[in-house]
Amino acid sequence: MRRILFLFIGFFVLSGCEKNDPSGADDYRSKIVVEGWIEQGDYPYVILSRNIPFFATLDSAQLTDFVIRHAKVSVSDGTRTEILSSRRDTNYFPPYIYRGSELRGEAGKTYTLKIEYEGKILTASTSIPPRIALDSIWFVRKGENNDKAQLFLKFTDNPDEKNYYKLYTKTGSVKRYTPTLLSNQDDKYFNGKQLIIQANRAPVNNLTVKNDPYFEIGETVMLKFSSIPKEGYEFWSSFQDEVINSSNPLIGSTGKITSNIKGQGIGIWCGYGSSQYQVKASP
Amino acid sequence: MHFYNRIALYSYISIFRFPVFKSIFIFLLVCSAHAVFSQDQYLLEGYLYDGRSQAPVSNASLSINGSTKLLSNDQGYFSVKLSAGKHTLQFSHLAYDTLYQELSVNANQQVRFALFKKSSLMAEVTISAKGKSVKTIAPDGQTLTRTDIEKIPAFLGQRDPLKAIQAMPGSAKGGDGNSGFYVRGGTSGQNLTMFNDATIYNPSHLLGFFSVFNNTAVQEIKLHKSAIPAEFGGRLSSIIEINSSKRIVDSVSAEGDISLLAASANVQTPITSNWSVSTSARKTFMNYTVWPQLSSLGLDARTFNNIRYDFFDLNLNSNLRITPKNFLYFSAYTGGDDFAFNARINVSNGMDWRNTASSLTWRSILRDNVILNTTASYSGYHFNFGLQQDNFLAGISSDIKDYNLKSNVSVYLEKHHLKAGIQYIDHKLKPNTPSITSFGLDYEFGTPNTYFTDETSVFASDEFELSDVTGIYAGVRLTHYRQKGPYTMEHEDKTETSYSKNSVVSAFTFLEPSLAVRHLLTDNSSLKLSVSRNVQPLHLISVTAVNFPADFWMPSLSSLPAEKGQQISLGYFRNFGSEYETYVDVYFKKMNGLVEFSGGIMNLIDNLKIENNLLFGSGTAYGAEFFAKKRTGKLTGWIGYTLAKSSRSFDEINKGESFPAKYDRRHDLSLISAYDLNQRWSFSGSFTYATGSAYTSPVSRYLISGNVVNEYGPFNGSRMPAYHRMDFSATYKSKPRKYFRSELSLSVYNVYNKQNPIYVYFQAEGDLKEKRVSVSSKSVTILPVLPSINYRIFFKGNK
Repeated sequence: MRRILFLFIGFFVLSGCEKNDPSGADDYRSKIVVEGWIEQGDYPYVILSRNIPFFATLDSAQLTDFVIRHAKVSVSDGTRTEILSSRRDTNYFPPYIYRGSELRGEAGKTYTLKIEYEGKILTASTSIPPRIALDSIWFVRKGENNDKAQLFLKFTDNPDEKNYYKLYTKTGSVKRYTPTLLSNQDDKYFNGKQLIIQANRAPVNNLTVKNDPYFEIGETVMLKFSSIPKEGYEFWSSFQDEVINSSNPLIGSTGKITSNIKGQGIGIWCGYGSSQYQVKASP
Repeated sequence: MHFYNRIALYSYISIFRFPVFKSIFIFLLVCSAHAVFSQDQYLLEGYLYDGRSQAPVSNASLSINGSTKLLSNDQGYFSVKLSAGKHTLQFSHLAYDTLYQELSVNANQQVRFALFKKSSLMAEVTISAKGKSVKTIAPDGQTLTRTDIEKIPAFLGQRDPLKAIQAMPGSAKGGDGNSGFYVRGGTSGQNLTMFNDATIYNPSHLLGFFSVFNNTAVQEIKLHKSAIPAEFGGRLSSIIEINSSKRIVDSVSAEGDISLLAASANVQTPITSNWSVSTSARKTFMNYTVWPQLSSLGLDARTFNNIRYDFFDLNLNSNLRITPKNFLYFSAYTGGDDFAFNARINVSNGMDWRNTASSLTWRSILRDNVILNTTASYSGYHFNFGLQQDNFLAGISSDIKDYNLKSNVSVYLEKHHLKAGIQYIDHKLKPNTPSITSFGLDYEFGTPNTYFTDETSVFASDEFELSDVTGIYAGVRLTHYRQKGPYTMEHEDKTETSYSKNSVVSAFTFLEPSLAVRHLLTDNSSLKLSVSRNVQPLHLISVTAVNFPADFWMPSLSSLPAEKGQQISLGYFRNFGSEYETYVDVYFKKMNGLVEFSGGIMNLIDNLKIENNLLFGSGTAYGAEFFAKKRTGKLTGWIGYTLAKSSRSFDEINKGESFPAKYDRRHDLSLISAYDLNQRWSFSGSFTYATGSAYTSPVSRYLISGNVVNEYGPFNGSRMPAYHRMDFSATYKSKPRKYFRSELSLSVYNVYNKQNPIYVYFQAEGDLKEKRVSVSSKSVTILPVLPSINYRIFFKGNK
C-alpha cells in the first residue's frame, strides 16, 4: 500500500538530475575578481583572481592558474598611498593575498583601491563606519533533544546615523569568519531602536549543504559584529541572494550582484568597523 | 422601429459624451439600415422555448423546406427572411424532439414554438458551438463544453476546464508546476479570467496542478484571443469566459466523485418551476492521506518537513425566472489554498490565498429580439506569505478588491446583431505589504502601498451580413481610467505630493477597437481576418522563477503606463462534412509597456515603492496555428499545433538587445482523442509537446569568500529540454439504473514518466582546500508517472 501511495504522492518530491549544458561558452568575458577589505585598526587585504568559463573543469592546475599574483595593488587614504605586497596564505582561497603593512584603517576615513594588471586599471572606493558594541549576547537551548545552543544578541541603533550591519561567527581554530543566515541588516526598518537577533549559523560556503544553525553546548564561539558602508551592504545582500537563493525555484536568481569595482572587474572593496567577542555557548 | 429608439435612448446618456462614439453610433445606424428589405419577402421572427421549463432553447437548428438555415441564439431567438407562400419549418436539437411546423407567410410575423425534451434522456446533453466556426463572424474562437472537457484524461481524477482550453492551439502551457497561461506569445497576466462575469485574479491552485474551476460547476469555457469583443477589454492576450449552466432545472440531480486526493459534489434542485439552485463543493484531503505518509516515509526530509497543503472550492448558483421574459442569475464562488511546511532550522513557512467572486445578473428580454443584461459583481483576492522562527516573524500579503457594474443591450435584427453597453469597475489594490516582527519589535515599513483606481467604459458592436458571403464584426470600447487618492507621490527630487481621498492623481482615456471580417469561400470554408488594439491598465508583476501566487497585480500610474497591444490575424476555416472541422490561423502581435520587476521576491520584504523599481519594454509575437477536430463517431478528438515566436526588448535587460520571452514556444503540439468502445467502456488519451522554456544560464563563475558564484550570460539565452508528456484514461460506466448511474475511471498522468524540469539551477560541490570542485546543472522536476482512480456517481430524480 505504501508503495502505491508513494506513486500518488511522489509528485511533491523534488528530484534532481544532472545534465551538461554547453551553451553560453561564447559569451564568456574575462574579468578580474576582487575581494578586498580594510578593518578599523587593521591593514588592507585584497584577494585577486579571474573568473572562469562556466563548464571548464576545475582541476588543481586551473585552480592555481586563476589566481592573480602579480598585480600592482595600492590603497590610498587621500593623503598616503601604500602598495600592497602579495604573499601565500593558506587561510584563504585562493591562497594568495595582498596585504599592507603601514596604512591602518581609521573610522570615518575613505579608502581608495587601485589595481593595475595586464594594462587594465580597476578602482574602488569605500569608507569605514565607526564600530558599534553589542548590548548583550546569550544562548538558548535548541535542537531536537535540547542539546544545542542558539545564539541571540541585542544592540541599539543610533537614531542620528545611517547604519548597515553584518554579523559573523566562527568556532575552533578557523581563521575566517562565516556570515550568519540573514547576516546583513539595514537600520531603515528599526532606526534608533533596540533590536534582538536570533542568529542562525549558515553553511561555511555554497559548496556544502551541511549546516547546523546551532552551537554545541560549551563550545567557544567567536562573534564579529561589523558596521559596514552602503556599498558593502548592497554587495553582501545581493551576494547572499545569489549564493543562497538561486537554487530555489520559488525565488530564483536575479543575476545581479551589486559590485563597487570600476573597470573590467567584479567584487567588493569594503571597510568594516568591527566589534569581536569570544563567548562560551552556555544557555 | 422601437428598438432603434430604445437603443438610442439607452445609449444617449453615456455614449454621446464621447465624440468617437458618436460617429461609431452613426456608423451602426447606417449599417442597420440594411435591415430594411423588399416587400416580396417577409421577416419571420421567432422564439424557441422549453415547453416544460419555459427556458429559451439555444442552438436549435432551423431547416426550411429541407435545407438548414440557421441556429437559434442564446435567447432562443431566430429570424429569417422568407418569400410569400407555404413553408415547412423543422426545428431540431440533440436534447429535444424534433418539431415540424407548416406555415403560410404573407406578412411579417412573430412566432413562438415550444420544444419538448427527449424522454429517454438521462445524462445531461450539452451542445457546443459545434460546426459553427466556418460561419461565425465574431471570432469567439474556442468554446469547450463539459462534454469536450470530459474527453481529456483527468489529472489525478480531477477534470479541469482551464487545462482543457490550454490544449487548444495558440495557448501555451507554462509546464508542470506552472499555473500560467500564455496566449499567442503574451504573458500570463494578459488574460482576463471570468467566472459568470466576475474576475478571478488567480485562477489556479498550488503550482497550477488544478485550476479553481470545479468541472461539475462549469457548463462551458470560451476563449477569445483575437478581435476581443467590445464588451470585454483591458487585457492584451485573451478573455476566458467560464460559465455555469443558466438552465432552470426541473428535477433534482446530483453527482459526486471521489479520489485519493479529493472529493467533489454537485447538487441541482428546482425550488419552484421557475427557480432552481445548484451548489458544488470540492475539497482535497491530502493533509489526511498524502502528507502524513510522506512524512512517515521520510521522503520530504531533504527540503521540507511537516508539509501541509489542501484547497477547497465552493460554488453556489441560483437561476430564477421572474417573468417569462425576466431572469435573475446569482453566482458565488469562494476557494482557497493553505500551504505550510517547516524548514529544517526550526522555521515554519506558510502561504495561503483565496479567491472570492460573486455576480448578480438580470436578463430582460425586452422584445423577442432585444435583450438587456445587467450584471453587478464583486471580485476579491488575498495572498499571504509568512515565515516564523520562534519570536521572529516575517511576511508579505497582497490584496485586491473589485466592484464591477456592467449593462448591455443586444438587438437581433435580420442581418445584424447590435450590442452596446456601459461598464464601471472600481479597483482597490494593496500589493505586497511586508511585515517583520522581531521579539516584539515591528520593523518600520512605512505606509503600505495602496492604490485606488477605476475604469468607466462604453462599448458598442455590430455583427452583420454585408452580403451573402461577407460578414463583418465591428466593435469599439472606450475607457476612461483614473488613479485616485489617497496617494503620496514621490518625485525624483525626493519631494512628495499628497492626494486626498477620491481626488484624481492621474487619468487617461483609451480606445480598444476590433474588427473581424468573414468571407465565405464555399458553404464549408471561409476566410477570416481580424484586427484589434487593446490596452491593459493592470500589470501582473512576476517575482518568482515559476508562476507562483506571490506574483502580484499593479495598476497603471502616472509613472507606470498601461500595456498596449495590436494584433492582426488571418485564418482559413474549413469543415469536411459534419464530421471534421479544421482551421489555420496566422497572427502577428506587437506589445508595448511590458513590465518586469527589477529585483526578486526577496526584494519585496522592503518598503520600496514598486513603481520605482520596474523595467519597461516591448514585445513581438507571431505564429501559425493549425487545428483539426473530429466531432462525431466512435473516435473523436483534435490535434492542435502552433508554430510561433515571441521576443522581448527591454533597454535595461541584455543591453537592450532583443531576447526570447520565457515561454517562447517554437513548437507546441496537443493531441486529444477519445474512443467510445461501447456503452460501457470509453478510453481517452492525450499527448503534448512544447519547446522548452527560455532561461538565463551562467557563463562564468568566480570565487568570493570561498563561495562559487555564478555570473550570468544573455538573458533567456538558454533553453530547457523540450516538454512532452502522454496521459491516458479508461472509464467504465455502470448500467444506468432508474435514478443512478456511476463511472469508474483509471487515469495515468505522464505515462512514460518523462522528467520535465520546471527549473534549472547550477550547483557547485567539492572542497577548495583539496582543489576539487565541480559545477553541474541540476533540474527540478515534480510530476513523475501518476496513476489515479476516480469514482463518480450521478443521480437524477423524477420531474
